[in-house]
Amino acid sequence: MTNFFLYITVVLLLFFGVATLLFKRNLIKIVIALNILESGVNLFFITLAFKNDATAPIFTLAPDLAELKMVLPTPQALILTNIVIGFATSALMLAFAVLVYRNNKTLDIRKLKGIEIHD
Amino acid sequence: MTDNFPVLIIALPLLVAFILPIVSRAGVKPRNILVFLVILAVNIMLLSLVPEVMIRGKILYSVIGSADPARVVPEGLTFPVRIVLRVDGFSLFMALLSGFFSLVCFIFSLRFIPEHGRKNYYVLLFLLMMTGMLGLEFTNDLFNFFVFLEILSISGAALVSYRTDRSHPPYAGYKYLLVSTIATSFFLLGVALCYAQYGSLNMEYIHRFMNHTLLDRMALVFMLAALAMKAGAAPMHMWVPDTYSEAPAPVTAMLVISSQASLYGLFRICFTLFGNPISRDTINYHTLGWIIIIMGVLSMFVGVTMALVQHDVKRLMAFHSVSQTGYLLMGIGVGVAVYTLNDGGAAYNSYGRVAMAGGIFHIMNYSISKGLLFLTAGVMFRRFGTCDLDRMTGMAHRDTVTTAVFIIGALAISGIPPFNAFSSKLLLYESVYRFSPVLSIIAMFVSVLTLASFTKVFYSAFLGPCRSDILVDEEPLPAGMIAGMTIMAAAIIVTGFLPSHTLNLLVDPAISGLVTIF
Amino acid sequence: MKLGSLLSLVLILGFLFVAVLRLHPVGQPLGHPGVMKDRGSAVTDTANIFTMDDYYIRNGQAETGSNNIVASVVFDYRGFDTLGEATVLFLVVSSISMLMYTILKQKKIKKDHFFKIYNFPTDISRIISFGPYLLYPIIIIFGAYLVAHGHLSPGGGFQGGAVMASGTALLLISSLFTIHIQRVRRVFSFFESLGLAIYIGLGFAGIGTSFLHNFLAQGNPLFLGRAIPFGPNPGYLNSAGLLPLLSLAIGIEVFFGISVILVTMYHVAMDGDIKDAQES
Repeated sequence: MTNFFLYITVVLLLFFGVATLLFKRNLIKIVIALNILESGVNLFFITLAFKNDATAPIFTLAPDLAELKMVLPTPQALILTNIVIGFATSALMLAFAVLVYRNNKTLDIRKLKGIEIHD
Repeated sequence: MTDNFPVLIIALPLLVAFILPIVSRAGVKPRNILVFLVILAVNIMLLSLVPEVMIRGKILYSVIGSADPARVVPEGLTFPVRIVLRVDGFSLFMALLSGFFSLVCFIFSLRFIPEHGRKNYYVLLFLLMMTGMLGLEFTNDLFNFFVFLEILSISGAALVSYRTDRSHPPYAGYKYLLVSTIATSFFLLGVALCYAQYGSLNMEYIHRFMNHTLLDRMALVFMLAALAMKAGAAPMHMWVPDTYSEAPAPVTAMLVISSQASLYGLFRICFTLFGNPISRDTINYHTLGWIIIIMGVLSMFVGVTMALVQHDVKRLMAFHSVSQTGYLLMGIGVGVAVYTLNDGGAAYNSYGRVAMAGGIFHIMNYSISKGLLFLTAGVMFRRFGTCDLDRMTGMAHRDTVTTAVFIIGALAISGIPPFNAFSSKLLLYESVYRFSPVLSIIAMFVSVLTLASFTKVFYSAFLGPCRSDILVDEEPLPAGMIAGMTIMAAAIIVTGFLPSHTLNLLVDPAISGLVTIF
Repeated sequence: MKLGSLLSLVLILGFLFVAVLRLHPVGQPLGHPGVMKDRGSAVTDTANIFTMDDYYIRNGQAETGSNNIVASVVFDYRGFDTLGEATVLFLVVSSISMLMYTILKQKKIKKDHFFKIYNFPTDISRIISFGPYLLYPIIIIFGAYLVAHGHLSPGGGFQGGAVMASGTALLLISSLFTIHIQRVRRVFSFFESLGLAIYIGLGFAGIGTSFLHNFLAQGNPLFLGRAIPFGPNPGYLNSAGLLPLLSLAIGIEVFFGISVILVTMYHVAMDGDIKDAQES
């Protein structure tokens, strides 16, 4: 029960990610909010993988354990994929933001609302 | 060799996509021929799977990377340990649609998108979009589904902003990617909750041991909301008009079928993951069905009323897309709502199954008609240089083929006999009436408004005097564009005149693949 | 609008709290108590294997020959996901190249030199202008070490590739030598496609059994097929079959891919047309 703060951190990260997403107007800040949201999800996976008094699932020069107590390897593989996907998505969104700024000279979503009709 | 086909269907386009930047240096023609051959090969492989899966009703499993690909659970164990691909009726139905769409849209975009240095990237992203769709439809593993959903979303978002010289497409791409990323993050949260309960990521394994606890219901809510957001159902439909109108026309057609792929995911989650009504405390299928029906009715109404007041032809069709997605949700929602064993399956067998058949048949009809309409909108854009209905007139004089296919598509999607959507809408009306008469009347009313909006488009753009001062491009259409549109119109006519054959061949195996209890 | 946002936020927060209170405590084995016990088990070498992860920990070393179980999960058991993830990275690199295509074509390429070691610009501090020469080889070697030893210690293709790409970022920040952008980008994209083609080619190599089958794992010790005894060991480089090769392919792809993204965005942002955007 002493490690419950990990779950609290996950909830707080998700909450702040969604809150920033809803209340901020700058395009770049929305990308940052998405990064916070994804960090929350990754932390959740890693918290699921944890086991008390367990070591990393690596056999090279591992301590000699009587029973094999290792943390779960699957969530680590899953968040590896998720981190790369999150990085790629942020890069693409920032490229979009660069183009939007070049075309409209603003990054404020309220000011960008008016450009709905094209030519 | 056929055992390897499910993996080859996904891996072969990936291989070609990875070597495409090198092949593109050799010229335009080798690149076009190579990609066309790959898409054709994928379609042939899909068609060759039809006798085994659809007619004989066998479900193909393929384990990736193991020494024995046909054996899902290894020796001595009771659970699968690798990624499993599963091809059943519903997967193959959606995959056939995706392959068909990719072929037609690729032929259309050969000449529609002008040759440019950027077009190499366009072809590459197109191929990867098709791969994402096919991978999503074949996989039986939750995290693999997430990865292919991301491939589909990112390639779609990049293709939406293909015309970087205009001011709005990059912003539309940004919005589409934002909505997709939020949706997939919450989907991953649902997957994590499922993993926390069962220790496995395989859909069939979780289905067998599903306990319907509170955490499982939360996972269902997250996954459902995420996939409904990706499919463009109201109240999360805000991204659809902007995205569909800013993308080039063949990309919009591909976006239509990728929204249907998200709907495929939704139905898979509802039935294959959570559809286990024989355990003791199960989720309330009646409530779940009504939630899906409410989303469907809202989409229908919001879509068609907003479509009536639009001036931009692509935005009109995009709102209309939202409304037709509502039909699908309503049909499948009725099927879910009566999916229970309390009365021995009587309600399901009498009208629930018909509602699901109507819904799944309508996926096919709606996608093909809507894709065709978006391609004709592309022709309109090419002729007049704009998508504004107030500035278009008199296209029927020059482009008779386009007018004919537009009439076919518009009549088809409004549900006029003898075209294909008539059969699917009739199935929906009859079965939904048995469930609740009010829904059926709303559906019919929306159908009438649909016809009204397309009459408006036809009147503005096609009829009227032929003026050559507003035309931008006067040359006759290239053969590729005409071929693409006529193939789709032919598919509409064929499935319209042979509805019972189509139902028996394609839709019934789809339902038996999806619903495995009755 | 504000009220709706606040309401949905409170709803989401409550939802998540309820979920977290119902989960198992941190550190305990995961799973619903009813499910994990009565779904049957398999008794192999005096241990009960209940879940997928138990199987990976017990049999992963013997089946794949790698000491790092996470690497064996990433590249062998769930190699298809890794292929999808590499595809996502390739996708994003191509998308950014496509989006910035017209901008890059309009910019004048400074037909400059590659290396001008002797002309230190005076407005950059000495650390930034000279530091990269000391750090860049170290970074590249460290990244290559991570990639090469992915199957023995924490590391692998993605981690090593990202470290190596940070070397490129360092060079761009120091801006000591102006890179002939188009040439470098073309070379880097070629190598990126090459890395991915190697990955999927290796996947197709074992197509006789199945796609992405680790056919080198229990074979000849000369071809990375050394058999590993169960338990801790000092770590042998010629083990784990296909895994070091896949790791190498991914490392190449990630390094060159991220470098292309960095170089493209740098060139778009440099001495450009942002100057005439006065207000925000």
